[in-house]
Amino acid sequence: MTYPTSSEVSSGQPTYASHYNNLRADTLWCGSNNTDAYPLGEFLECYAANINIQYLATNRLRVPVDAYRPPAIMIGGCMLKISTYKDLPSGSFSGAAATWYIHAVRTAGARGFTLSVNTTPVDTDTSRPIGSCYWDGATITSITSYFPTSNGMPDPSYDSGWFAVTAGTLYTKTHGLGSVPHGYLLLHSTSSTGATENVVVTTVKVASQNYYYSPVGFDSNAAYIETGSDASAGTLCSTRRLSGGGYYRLLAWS
Amino acid sequence: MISIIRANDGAIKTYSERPHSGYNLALDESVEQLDVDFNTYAQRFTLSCGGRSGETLSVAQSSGDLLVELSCPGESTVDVDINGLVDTLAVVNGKAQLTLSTDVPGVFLLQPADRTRYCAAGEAVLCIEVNPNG
Repeated sequence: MTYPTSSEVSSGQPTYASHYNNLRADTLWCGSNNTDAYPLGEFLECYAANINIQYLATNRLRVPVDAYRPPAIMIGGCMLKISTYKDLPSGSFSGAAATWYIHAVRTAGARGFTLSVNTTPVDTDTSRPIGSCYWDGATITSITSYFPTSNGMPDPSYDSGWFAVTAGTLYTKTHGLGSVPHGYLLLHSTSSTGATENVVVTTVKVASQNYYYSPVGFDSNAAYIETGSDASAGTLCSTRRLSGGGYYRLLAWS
Repeated sequence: MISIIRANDGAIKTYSERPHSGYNLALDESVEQLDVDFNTYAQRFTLSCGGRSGETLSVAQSSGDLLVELSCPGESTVDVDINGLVDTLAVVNGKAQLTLSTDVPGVFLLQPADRTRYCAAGEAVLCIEVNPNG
Protein backbone atom coordinates (compact mmCIF):
# COMPACT_ATOMS: atom_id res chain seq x y z
CA MET A 1 0.00 0.00 0.00
CA THR A 2 1.23 3.45 -0.87
CA TYR A 3 1.23 5.73 2.11
CA PRO A 4 0.78 8.61 2.31
CA THR A 5 -1.34 9.03 -0.79
CA SER A 6 -1.32 12.83 -0.53
CA SER A 7 1.64 14.84 -1.83
CA GLU A 8 3.12 18.23 -1.10
CA VAL A 9 2.03 21.22 -3.15
CA SER A 10 4.23 24.17 -3.97
CA SER A 11 3.43 27.80 -3.46
CA GLY A 12 1.34 28.99 -6.39
CA GLN A 13 0.64 25.46 -7.64
CA PRO A 14 -3.01 24.85 -8.47
CA THR A 15 -4.61 22.30 -6.13
CA TYR A 16 -7.10 19.80 -7.36
CA ALA A 17 -9.86 17.69 -5.84
CA SER A 18 -7.44 14.76 -5.78
CA HIS A 19 -5.08 16.66 -3.52
CA TYR A 20 -7.87 17.24 -1.02
CA ASN A 21 -9.30 13.73 -1.31
CA ASN A 22 -5.92 12.03 -0.94
CA LEU A 23 -5.21 14.14 2.10
CA ARG A 24 -8.64 13.25 3.48
CA ALA A 25 -8.01 9.55 2.82
CA ASP A 26 -4.68 9.80 4.64
CA THR A 27 -6.33 11.53 7.57
CA LEU A 28 -9.41 9.37 7.90
CA TRP A 29 -8.23 5.93 6.77
CA CYS A 30 -4.43 6.18 6.91
CA GLY A 31 -4.29 6.02 3.12
CA SER A 32 -6.87 3.27 2.77
CA ASN A 33 -10.54 3.83 1.91
CA ASN A 34 -13.92 3.64 3.55
CA THR A 35 -14.65 0.11 2.35
CA ASP A 36 -11.41 -1.37 3.68
CA ALA A 37 -10.98 0.57 6.89
CA TYR A 38 -12.86 2.29 9.65
CA PRO A 39 -12.19 6.01 10.04
CA LEU A 40 -9.35 6.69 12.45
CA GLY A 41 -11.56 8.43 14.98
CA GLU A 42 -14.02 5.55 15.01
CA PHE A 43 -11.18 3.06 15.32
CA LEU A 44 -9.73 4.94 18.28
CA GLU A 45 -13.10 4.88 20.03
CA CYS A 46 -11.93 1.45 21.20
CA TYR A 47 -8.65 2.80 22.53
CA ALA A 48 -7.81 2.76 26.21
CA ALA A 49 -4.49 1.95 27.87
CA ASN A 50 -2.72 1.75 31.20
CA ILE A 51 -5.90 1.99 33.22
CA ASN A 52 -5.23 -0.14 36.27
CA ILE A 53 -7.96 -0.10 38.86
CA GLN A 54 -6.92 -0.69 42.45
CA TYR A 55 -8.71 -1.05 45.75
CA LEU A 56 -8.69 2.00 48.01
CA ALA A 57 -9.85 1.77 51.63
CA THR A 58 -12.63 1.75 52.45
CA ASN A 59 -14.80 0.47 49.59
CA ARG A 60 -13.31 2.92 47.12
CA LEU A 61 -11.35 2.52 43.90
CA ARG A 62 -8.30 4.27 42.48
CA VAL A 63 -6.73 4.60 39.04
CA PRO A 64 -3.03 5.21 39.73
CA VAL A 65 -0.71 7.06 37.36
CA ASP A 66 2.66 6.00 36.04
CA ALA A 67 4.34 9.06 34.52
CA TYR A 68 5.86 6.96 31.75
CA ARG A 69 2.65 5.08 31.01
CA PRO A 70 -0.18 7.47 31.81
CA PRO A 71 -3.76 6.23 31.71
CA ALA A 72 -5.34 7.29 28.42
CA ILE A 73 -8.70 6.70 26.81
CA MET A 74 -10.94 8.00 24.04
CA ILE A 75 -14.50 8.81 25.04
CA GLY A 76 -17.03 10.32 22.66
CA GLY A 77 -14.30 11.16 20.15
CA CYS A 78 -12.23 13.00 22.75
CA MET A 79 -8.69 11.85 23.51
CA LEU A 80 -8.21 12.00 27.26
CA LYS A 81 -5.27 11.46 29.58
CA ILE A 82 -4.70 11.91 33.31
CA SER A 83 -1.52 12.90 35.11
CA THR A 84 -2.73 12.51 38.70
CA TYR A 85 -4.51 9.54 40.22
CA LYS A 86 -8.27 9.45 40.20
CA ASP A 87 -10.30 8.14 43.15
CA LEU A 88 -13.88 7.03 43.30
CA PRO A 89 -15.81 9.05 45.91
CA SER A 90 -16.80 7.37 49.17
CA GLY A 91 -20.26 5.91 49.44
CA SER A 92 -20.52 4.99 45.76
CA PHE A 93 -21.72 1.44 46.45
CA SER A 94 -24.97 0.38 48.08
CA GLY A 95 -27.68 -2.25 47.98
CA ALA A 96 -27.56 -6.00 47.58
CA ALA A 97 -24.68 -8.07 46.22
CA ALA A 98 -24.04 -7.36 42.54
CA THR A 99 -21.43 -6.79 39.88
CA TRP A 100 -20.76 -3.07 39.49
CA TYR A 101 -19.17 -1.52 36.42
CA ILE A 102 -16.51 1.13 36.74
CA HIS A 103 -16.72 3.98 34.23
CA ALA A 104 -14.35 6.66 33.00
CA VAL A 105 -16.39 9.82 32.69
CA ARG A 106 -15.64 12.77 30.42
CA THR A 107 -16.66 16.33 31.26
CA ALA A 108 -16.89 19.12 28.67
CA GLY A 109 -13.93 21.47 28.94
CA ALA A 110 -11.63 18.88 30.56
CA ARG A 111 -9.01 16.66 28.91
CA GLY A 112 -8.90 14.19 31.78
CA PHE A 113 -11.54 11.87 33.20
CA THR A 114 -13.14 11.00 36.51
CA LEU A 115 -14.60 7.75 37.87
CA SER A 116 -18.12 6.60 38.56
CA VAL A 117 -19.80 3.24 39.11
CA ASN A 118 -23.06 1.75 37.97
CA THR A 119 -24.67 -1.66 37.91
CA THR A 120 -24.95 -1.48 34.11
CA PRO A 121 -22.05 -1.05 31.67
CA VAL A 122 -23.12 2.20 30.01
CA ASP A 123 -21.12 3.26 26.93
CA THR A 124 -22.05 6.78 25.85
CA ASP A 125 -20.41 9.93 24.45
CA THR A 126 -19.44 10.88 28.01
CA SER A 127 -18.82 7.53 29.68
CA ARG A 128 -17.03 4.24 29.02
CA PRO A 129 -16.76 1.09 31.12
CA ILE A 130 -13.14 0.49 32.16
CA GLY A 131 -13.64 -2.37 34.60
CA SER A 132 -15.93 -4.16 36.98
CA CYS A 133 -15.96 -5.13 40.62
CA TYR A 134 -18.03 -7.32 42.87
CA TRP A 135 -19.94 -5.74 45.74
CA ASP A 136 -21.07 -8.35 48.25
CA GLY A 137 -23.54 -6.04 49.95
CA ALA A 138 -20.98 -4.69 52.41
CA THR A 139 -17.56 -4.68 50.77
CA ILE A 140 -15.75 -4.80 47.45
CA THR A 141 -14.32 -8.29 47.08
CA SER A 142 -12.76 -8.29 43.60
CA ILE A 143 -11.76 -5.88 40.85
CA THR A 144 -11.19 -6.46 37.14
CA SER A 145 -9.46 -3.85 34.96
CA TYR A 146 -10.44 -4.01 31.27
CA PHE A 147 -7.43 -2.02 30.03
CA PRO A 148 -4.48 -2.69 32.34
CA THR A 149 -0.87 -1.95 31.48
CA SER A 150 -0.01 -4.74 29.10
CA ASN A 151 3.56 -5.55 30.04
CA GLY A 152 4.18 -7.72 33.06
CA MET A 153 1.60 -9.38 35.25
CA PRO A 154 -1.59 -7.34 35.64
CA ASP A 155 -2.84 -6.45 39.08
CA PRO A 156 -4.76 -9.36 40.58
CA SER A 157 -8.52 -9.39 40.19
CA TYR A 158 -8.81 -10.45 43.81
CA ASP A 159 -6.55 -9.62 46.75
CA SER A 160 -7.55 -10.96 50.13
CA GLY A 161 -5.07 -8.80 52.01
CA TRP A 162 -3.19 -10.46 54.87
CA PHE A 163 -5.16 -12.57 57.31
CA ALA A 164 -4.09 -14.59 60.33
CA VAL A 165 -4.04 -18.36 59.98
CA THR A 166 -3.51 -21.44 62.09
CA ALA A 167 -3.42 -25.19 61.56
CA GLY A 168 -6.51 -27.30 60.91
CA THR A 169 -8.83 -24.52 59.82
CA LEU A 170 -11.00 -23.81 56.78
CA TYR A 171 -10.93 -20.21 55.56
CA THR A 172 -13.54 -19.08 53.05
CA LYS A 173 -12.84 -15.99 50.99
CA THR A 174 -15.48 -14.51 48.72
CA HIS A 175 -13.82 -13.37 45.50
CA GLY A 176 -17.04 -12.84 43.50
CA LEU A 177 -15.31 -13.16 40.14
CA GLY A 178 -18.20 -15.10 38.62
CA SER A 179 -15.97 -17.94 37.48
CA VAL A 180 -13.09 -20.03 38.74
CA PRO A 181 -9.95 -17.86 38.54
CA HIS A 182 -7.41 -18.62 35.81
CA GLY A 183 -4.55 -18.32 38.24
CA TYR A 184 -3.76 -17.72 41.88
CA LEU A 185 -0.92 -17.20 44.32
CA LEU A 186 -1.11 -18.00 48.01
CA LEU A 187 1.60 -16.32 50.08
CA HIS A 188 2.71 -16.90 53.66
CA SER A 189 4.45 -14.38 55.90
CA THR A 190 5.47 -14.52 59.54
CA SER A 191 4.80 -10.80 59.84
CA SER A 192 1.43 -9.07 59.88
CA THR A 193 2.88 -6.42 57.59
CA GLY A 194 4.10 -9.02 55.09
CA ALA A 195 7.58 -7.62 55.62
CA THR A 196 9.28 -10.99 56.09
CA GLU A 197 9.94 -13.31 53.17
CA ASN A 198 6.71 -14.17 51.35
CA VAL A 199 6.85 -17.93 50.83
CA VAL A 200 4.56 -19.45 48.21
CA VAL A 201 2.18 -21.97 49.79
CA THR A 202 1.80 -25.10 47.71
CA THR A 203 1.63 -27.78 50.39
CA VAL A 204 0.58 -28.13 54.00
CA LYS A 205 0.90 -31.13 56.28
CA VAL A 206 -1.73 -33.23 57.99
CA ALA A 207 -0.91 -34.38 61.53
CA SER A 208 0.40 -37.88 62.08
CA GLN A 209 0.74 -38.51 58.35
CA ASN A 210 3.61 -38.08 56.02
CA TYR A 211 1.16 -36.67 53.48
CA TYR A 212 1.30 -33.20 52.08
CA TYR A 213 -1.66 -31.49 50.49
CA SER A 214 -2.44 -28.45 48.42
CA PRO A 215 -4.74 -26.31 50.57
CA VAL A 216 -6.62 -24.25 47.95
CA GLY A 217 -9.86 -24.75 46.02
CA PHE A 218 -12.18 -22.42 44.13
CA ASP A 219 -15.69 -22.14 42.84
CA SER A 220 -17.15 -19.26 40.88
CA ASN A 221 -17.78 -17.19 43.97
CA ALA A 222 -15.33 -18.18 46.68
CA ALA A 223 -11.91 -19.54 47.52
CA TYR A 224 -11.53 -22.29 50.09
CA ILE A 225 -8.25 -22.52 51.94
CA GLU A 226 -7.99 -25.45 54.31
CA THR A 227 -4.85 -25.65 56.38
CA GLY A 228 -3.42 -28.98 57.47
CA SER A 229 -3.91 -30.21 61.01
CA ASP A 230 -0.19 -30.53 61.79
CA ALA A 231 0.85 -27.94 64.40
CA SER A 232 4.35 -27.65 62.93
CA ALA A 233 3.57 -27.45 59.21
CA GLY A 234 -0.19 -27.06 58.93
CA THR A 235 -0.04 -23.64 57.27
CA LEU A 236 3.23 -23.98 55.38
CA CYS A 237 5.44 -26.87 54.44
CA SER A 238 8.31 -25.52 52.39
CA THR A 239 12.07 -25.83 52.27
CA ARG A 240 12.04 -22.11 52.99
CA ARG A 241 10.04 -22.39 56.17
CA LEU A 242 7.68 -24.52 58.25
CA SER A 243 4.76 -22.94 60.04
CA GLY A 244 1.59 -23.71 61.89
CA GLY A 245 0.62 -20.04 62.12
CA GLY A 246 1.55 -16.81 60.39
CA TYR A 247 -0.42 -14.93 57.78
CA TYR A 248 -1.79 -15.74 54.34
CA ARG A 249 -2.49 -13.48 51.39
CA LEU A 250 -4.41 -14.83 48.41
CA LEU A 251 -4.08 -13.21 44.98
CA ALA A 252 -6.25 -14.42 42.07
CA TRP A 253 -6.52 -13.50 38.43
CA SER A 254 -9.75 -13.91 36.48
CA MET B 1 -10.97 -1.18 59.14
CA ILE B 2 -10.37 -4.91 59.68
CA SER B 3 -12.64 -7.94 59.72
CA ILE B 4 -12.77 -10.34 62.64
CA ILE B 5 -14.27 -13.75 62.03
CA ARG B 6 -15.64 -15.65 65.01
CA ALA B 7 -16.48 -19.33 65.18
CA ASN B 8 -19.85 -20.37 66.55
CA ASP B 9 -18.36 -20.75 70.07
CA GLY B 10 -17.23 -17.11 70.03
CA ALA B 11 -13.55 -17.90 69.52
CA ILE B 12 -11.76 -15.56 67.14
CA LYS B 13 -10.99 -17.72 64.12
CA THR B 14 -9.06 -15.17 62.10
CA TYR B 15 -8.81 -11.49 61.35
CA SER B 16 -8.29 -9.93 57.98
CA GLU B 17 -6.56 -6.83 56.71
CA ARG B 18 -9.31 -6.16 54.22
CA PRO B 19 -12.95 -5.66 55.21
CA HIS B 20 -13.98 -8.79 53.36
CA SER B 21 -16.91 -10.85 54.47
CA GLY B 22 -14.87 -14.04 54.22
CA TYR B 23 -16.91 -16.01 56.69
CA ASN B 24 -18.76 -19.25 56.34
CA LEU B 25 -22.40 -19.09 57.28
CA ALA B 26 -22.64 -22.86 56.92
CA LEU B 27 -20.25 -23.16 59.85
CA ASP B 28 -22.30 -20.61 61.81
CA GLU B 29 -19.44 -18.13 61.77
CA SER B 30 -19.97 -14.42 62.23
CA VAL B 31 -18.07 -11.35 61.15
CA GLU B 32 -17.32 -8.06 62.88
CA GLN B 33 -15.81 -4.93 61.39
CA LEU B 34 -13.40 -3.12 63.68
CA ASP B 35 -11.95 0.33 63.05
CA VAL B 36 -8.37 -0.50 64.02
CA ASP B 37 -5.13 -0.97 62.14
CA PHE B 38 -4.44 -4.58 61.17
CA ASN B 39 -0.88 -4.58 62.50
CA THR B 40 -1.92 -2.99 65.77
CA TYR B 41 -4.53 -5.70 66.23
CA ALA B 42 -2.01 -8.41 65.33
CA GLN B 43 0.44 -7.15 67.96
CA ARG B 44 -2.06 -7.46 70.84
CA PHE B 45 -0.69 -10.93 71.61
CA THR B 46 2.48 -12.27 70.05
CA LEU B 47 4.81 -15.12 70.96
CA SER B 48 8.40 -15.34 69.84
CA CYS B 49 11.53 -17.28 70.55
CA GLY B 50 14.94 -16.02 69.53
CA GLY B 51 13.25 -13.15 67.74
CA ARG B 52 11.25 -15.51 65.52
CA SER B 53 7.49 -15.82 65.44
CA GLY B 54 4.82 -17.07 63.07
CA GLU B 55 6.93 -20.06 62.09
CA THR B 56 7.94 -23.41 63.49
CA LEU B 57 11.26 -23.52 65.32
CA SER B 58 13.31 -26.66 65.36
CA VAL B 59 15.89 -27.25 68.07
CA ALA B 60 17.97 -30.21 69.17
CA GLN B 61 17.33 -32.10 72.37
CA SER B 62 19.44 -30.97 75.32
CA SER B 63 20.41 -27.77 73.54
CA GLY B 64 19.62 -25.60 76.56
CA ASP B 65 16.53 -23.85 77.81
CA LEU B 66 14.40 -21.86 75.40
CA LEU B 67 13.28 -18.38 76.34
CA VAL B 68 9.87 -17.58 74.92
CA GLU B 69 8.87 -13.93 74.90
CA LEU B 70 5.29 -12.79 74.98
CA SER B 71 4.11 -9.34 74.05
CA CYS B 72 0.70 -8.29 75.33
CA PRO B 73 0.53 -4.50 75.63
CA GLY B 74 -1.79 -3.01 78.23
CA GLU B 75 -2.24 -6.16 80.32
CA SER B 76 -0.97 -7.07 83.80
CA THR B 77 -1.43 -10.83 83.43
CA VAL B 78 -2.14 -13.13 80.54
CA ASP B 79 -3.05 -16.82 80.23
CA VAL B 80 -1.00 -18.92 77.84
CA ASP B 81 -1.98 -22.38 76.66
CA ILE B 82 1.08 -24.64 76.48
CA ASN B 83 0.21 -28.04 75.06
CA GLY B 84 -3.25 -27.78 76.61
CA LEU B 85 -2.13 -26.59 80.04
CA VAL B 86 -2.84 -22.99 80.95
CA ASP B 87 -0.11 -20.90 82.58
CA THR B 88 -0.79 -17.41 83.92
CA LEU B 89 2.09 -15.03 83.30
CA ALA B 90 2.75 -11.65 84.85
CA VAL B 91 3.05 -8.96 82.21
CA VAL B 92 5.42 -6.05 82.86
CA ASN B 93 5.50 -3.15 80.44
CA GLY B 94 3.61 -5.28 77.97
CA LYS B 95 6.14 -8.12 78.09
CA ALA B 96 6.32 -11.54 79.71
CA GLN B 97 8.67 -14.48 79.46
CA LEU B 98 8.65 -18.19 80.05
CA THR B 99 11.28 -20.88 79.82
CA LEU B 100 10.96 -24.23 78.09
CA SER B 101 13.25 -27.19 78.60
CA THR B 102 14.77 -29.08 75.71
CA ASP B 103 15.61 -32.12 77.85
CA VAL B 104 12.81 -34.21 76.36
CA PRO B 105 12.05 -34.44 72.63
CA GLY B 106 8.59 -33.41 71.53
CA VAL B 107 6.54 -30.48 70.35
CA PHE B 108 5.63 -27.34 72.26
CA LEU B 109 2.52 -25.60 71.02
CA LEU B 110 1.88 -22.23 72.63
CA GLN B 111 -1.15 -20.05 72.03
CA PRO B 112 -3.50 -17.72 73.89
CA ALA B 113 -5.83 -19.45 76.34
CA ASP B 114 -8.64 -16.95 75.96
CA ARG B 115 -9.70 -17.48 72.35
CA THR B 116 -12.61 -15.07 72.56
CA ARG B 117 -10.18 -12.26 73.32
CA TYR B 118 -7.14 -13.26 71.31
CA CYS B 119 -6.89 -15.13 68.04
CA ALA B 120 -4.76 -18.29 68.16
CA ALA B 121 -3.31 -17.60 64.74
CA GLY B 122 -0.73 -15.38 63.07
CA GLU B 123 2.07 -14.53 65.51
CA ALA B 124 -0.03 -15.63 68.50
CA VAL B 125 0.68 -19.30 67.89
CA LEU B 126 4.18 -20.66 68.28
CA CYS B 127 5.33 -24.19 67.60
CA ILE B 128 8.72 -25.46 68.73
CA GLU B 129 9.97 -28.92 67.83
CA VAL B 130 12.56 -30.48 70.07
CA ASN B 131 14.24 -33.13 67.98
CA PRO B 132 15.87 -36.20 69.52
CA ASN B 133 19.63 -36.43 69.40
CA GLY B 134 21.27 -39.03 67.22
